[in-house]
Amino acid sequence: MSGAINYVRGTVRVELRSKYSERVVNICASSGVDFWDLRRGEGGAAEVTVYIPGYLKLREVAEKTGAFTVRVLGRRGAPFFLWRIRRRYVLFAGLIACLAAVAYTSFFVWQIDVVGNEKVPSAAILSALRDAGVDIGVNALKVSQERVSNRVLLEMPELSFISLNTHGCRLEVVVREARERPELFDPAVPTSVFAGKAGIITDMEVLEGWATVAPGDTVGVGDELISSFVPVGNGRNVHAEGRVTARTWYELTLSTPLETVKKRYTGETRRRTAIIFGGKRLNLYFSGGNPYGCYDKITEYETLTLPGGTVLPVTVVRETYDEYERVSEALTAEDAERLLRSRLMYLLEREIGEGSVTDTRFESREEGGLLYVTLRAECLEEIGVAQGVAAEIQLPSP
Amino acid sequence: MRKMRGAELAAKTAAIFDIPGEAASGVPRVTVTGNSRVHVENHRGLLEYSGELIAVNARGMTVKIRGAGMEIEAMSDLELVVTGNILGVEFLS
Repeated sequence: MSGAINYVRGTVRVELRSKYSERVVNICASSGVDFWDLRRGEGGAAEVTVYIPGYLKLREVAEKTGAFTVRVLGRRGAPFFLWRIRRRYVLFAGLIACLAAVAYTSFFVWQIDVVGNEKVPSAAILSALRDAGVDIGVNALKVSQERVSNRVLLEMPELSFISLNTHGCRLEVVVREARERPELFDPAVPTSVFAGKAGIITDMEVLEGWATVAPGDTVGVGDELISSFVPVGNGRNVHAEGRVTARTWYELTLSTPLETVKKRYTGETRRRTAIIFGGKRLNLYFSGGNPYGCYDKITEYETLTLPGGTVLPVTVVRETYDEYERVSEALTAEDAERLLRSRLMYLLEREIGEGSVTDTRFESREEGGLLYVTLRAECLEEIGVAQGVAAEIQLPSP
Repeated sequence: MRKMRGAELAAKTAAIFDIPGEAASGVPRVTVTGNSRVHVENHRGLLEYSGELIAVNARGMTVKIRGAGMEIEAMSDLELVVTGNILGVEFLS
């Protein structure tokens, strides 16, 4: 660091020749000239390094006192370099332009790092920041921390805190995710357990409340299974809890056409390259329209980085267009049925959640170029839904 | 009663008020780091210097630094830094 400062300030290596070099050194020190790297030179002369003002002061003292002579051994630093090139106008102008460009670009954000997020993806936060006007290439001085924070927090309720810290050209976005509000369990509110689905009860585990049905009973949607009112003594209201497992039945039907349209790639491919520099896109091609009637477009973004990991504000965009034709293809009934069966099983499993499927039967029929597959399934699942008895019962659709 | 000299009075005052001696009376402060660096503050100039001996004038005393391959790394009117293979520091008053 001191080397860089010395280079910017400019240093002079001088030889101070006198009969008594100790005296010269003392004169230097008492004159306020700071020096370093004192060595004995030839013939007992003292060699020191000083800054440019110190050198001028030394010459002045030497002239005034006549006690020593000053001889320059070497000059080093930016002031001497600039002095040398002062008449090379183009080089000088280029240097000034380069320094001005570096100074100007240092006001802009070239890298955005999001830290502190665990569940919320960084891409979502970056997208919200972009909507708030913060993106790569934006002037860092014009980013209003308060405005951006308010806007992003309003847009993303899953965040509880956001802070923007500028480190040179790097913008660090520190976020804290909001904690989900836990479901409040109020034992003072009388609550009953009702049937969310129709079925035959196979098993009941009543933890709190009064069972109004028993295994083997058939229940419909909305029937009370465990009552909040416990008729013991004078009776009391409780927050009913328990697991009620029932045998349930489902009938699901899906259909698919037996003739489908598929993609067939022609082998024709076109590639386009563009560069994004500071948020501005520069296309390295001329024809901007869609190259084919039907095509798949694959876009790859490659952000350039230095070997040390420093991200540059340059992103290379490669777009690949693969042309394809639409061709009709007949689907065999077996393939279509296999496809529909797997989809039906997926829908059924999604419907019963943690329950289990005990029996399945499939039926298929063709009608008007469509294949219909019907699944009839028997399942075992929990059907109890706790609801406050004072509130209106809202049950999931069967 | 014996009359106190200025330096003596300053040293006693510094001791009473718990003030660092070098700040109150201008006595030199010599800091030795390992055997390779000596930092002298409150000096009054060099008396002699070579690779083997550097003599520094300080208030009321001479600080002699003996060693081998010694250099004055930096110097101002208040302090100086000596580097090299330091063998000893002597105080002559």
